[in-house]
Amino acid sequence: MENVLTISNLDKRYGKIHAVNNLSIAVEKGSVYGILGPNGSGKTTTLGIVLGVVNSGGGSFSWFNEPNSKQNRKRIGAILEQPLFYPYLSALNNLKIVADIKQVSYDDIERVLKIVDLWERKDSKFKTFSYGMKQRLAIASALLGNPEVLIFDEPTNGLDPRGIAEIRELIIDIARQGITIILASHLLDEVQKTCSHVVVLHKGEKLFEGKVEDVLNLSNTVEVASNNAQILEIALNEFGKINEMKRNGEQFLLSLSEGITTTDLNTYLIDKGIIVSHLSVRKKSLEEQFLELLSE
Amino acid sequence: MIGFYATLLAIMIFGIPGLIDYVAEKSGEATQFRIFKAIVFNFPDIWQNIAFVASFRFFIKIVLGIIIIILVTTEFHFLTIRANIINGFSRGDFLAGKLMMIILLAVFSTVIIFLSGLYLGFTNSVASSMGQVFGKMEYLAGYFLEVSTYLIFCLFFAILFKKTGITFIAHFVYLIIEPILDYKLPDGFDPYLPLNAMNRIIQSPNTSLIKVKTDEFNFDFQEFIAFQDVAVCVAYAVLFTALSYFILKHRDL
Repeated sequence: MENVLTISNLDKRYGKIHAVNNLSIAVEKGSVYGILGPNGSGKTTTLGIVLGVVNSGGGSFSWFNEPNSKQNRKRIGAILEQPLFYPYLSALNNLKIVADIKQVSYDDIERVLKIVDLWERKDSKFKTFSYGMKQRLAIASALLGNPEVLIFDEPTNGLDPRGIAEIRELIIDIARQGITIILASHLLDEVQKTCSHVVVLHKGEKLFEGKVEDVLNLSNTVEVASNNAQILEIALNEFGKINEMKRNGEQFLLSLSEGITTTDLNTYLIDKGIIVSHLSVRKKSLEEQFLELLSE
Repeated sequence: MIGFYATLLAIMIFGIPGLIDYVAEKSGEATQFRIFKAIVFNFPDIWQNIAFVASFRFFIKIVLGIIIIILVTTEFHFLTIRANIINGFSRGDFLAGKLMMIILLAVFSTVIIFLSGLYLGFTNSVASSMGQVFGKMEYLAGYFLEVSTYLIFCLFFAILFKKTGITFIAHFVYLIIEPILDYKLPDGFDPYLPLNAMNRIIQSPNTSLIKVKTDEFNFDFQEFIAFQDVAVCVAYAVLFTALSYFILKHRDL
């Protein structure tokens, strides 16, 4: 698979703070790549470096497997932190500046403004916009000229629930068109709902990188309950093929040994004459994984 | 801001002859002032005189400097410089854009000086043959160079300090400090301080009257623009551009 972005051993220090620590990641073409981490984990710094606004302190990166140049950035649409526009210019004029820099035709402005529902307000000055509208204008600006890659840094920050839902739908919709998306977020839910791949950052270091579904499948928890909890507990203790067992009220939360399925467990319990009232596999949410990773 | 500059200039251009007339009438020696007016606004000396006034370092030129400082520091304040880079500008492109703005502003201001020179000259000058009207035009070119270099100096300050207020203060403090430096340093250094270097291009006004020397009044007024002064000025323009680029290149935006 072709890589859109390759980062090798990237490093950045701000005085004593090690913002990015020896980070290497690769973003495949067509993927929705999530960069997940709490505030201050180096997400924005990393994106700042690959977008040319922050100087790197070591390591390298490459877009489209080409040497770095401003031409590469013209093939990318990006929102970094907050929407950045000239407040005293209208939405239309702001986008004209963007179009000039990206060397794309003004004809595309109408399309992108209609996507984000701002065409009616095209002549209003940027400073008169509400935060949600500013954010939407930033998305319009990123979409201008049909970029091959879109970078969203905390795209739903400060939006109301309806705005958040709209932005997420839009991202999923863009991804369906085959455009690669890099999404930085501190919200696990957001990454879980939209991304195909994820890297988890903590204090500038990579904790984990892989497919979101792989992260979800790392270890599943099985919930079992029966009318007679005591007998069930004895039977489970005798089963032996359980890594970990926790009692949660009437339910038992189990982590099964490798190769053991819920069918094996159920067959064993039926043999023992125990009828379960509840048996389900709970996929560990990314959030739990994430918190677990952070607590290590 | 540009409107303010134009208004200020217009007030001066149309106001000064009126002011002189007013003073002339009040003083009771109207003839002397009329002669003064005719001499100062006489072609071709008017070009040197008007360029001298327009390029005087504590005067109207500062308005242009303020325009550049605001233009550049707001890019940092609103982080639009960051947006420009993300969208595909290089840092050099950003600087080139600002230099273009400076050239435009310098051209605009030179054109205004030219037009006001024509107006003041034709309304007041005794001499008006073609050769006289368009003589000494090199002072307009000198003015253009001086203003461009000054604006590049302001651009450098704006990039260095980023904040509008701090840049203003630094700029005005430097305006005051340089004459003090000039005074403290050995005489030979005078022409090489940046603002001095710019001002030396058009050092003094000149009229045919001033050429009359007496024992009390024996001073050589500038007769031509010296190549050395132009070279020092251009060197400063290049230096401030290079420093600005260096700072931009190595800064996280």
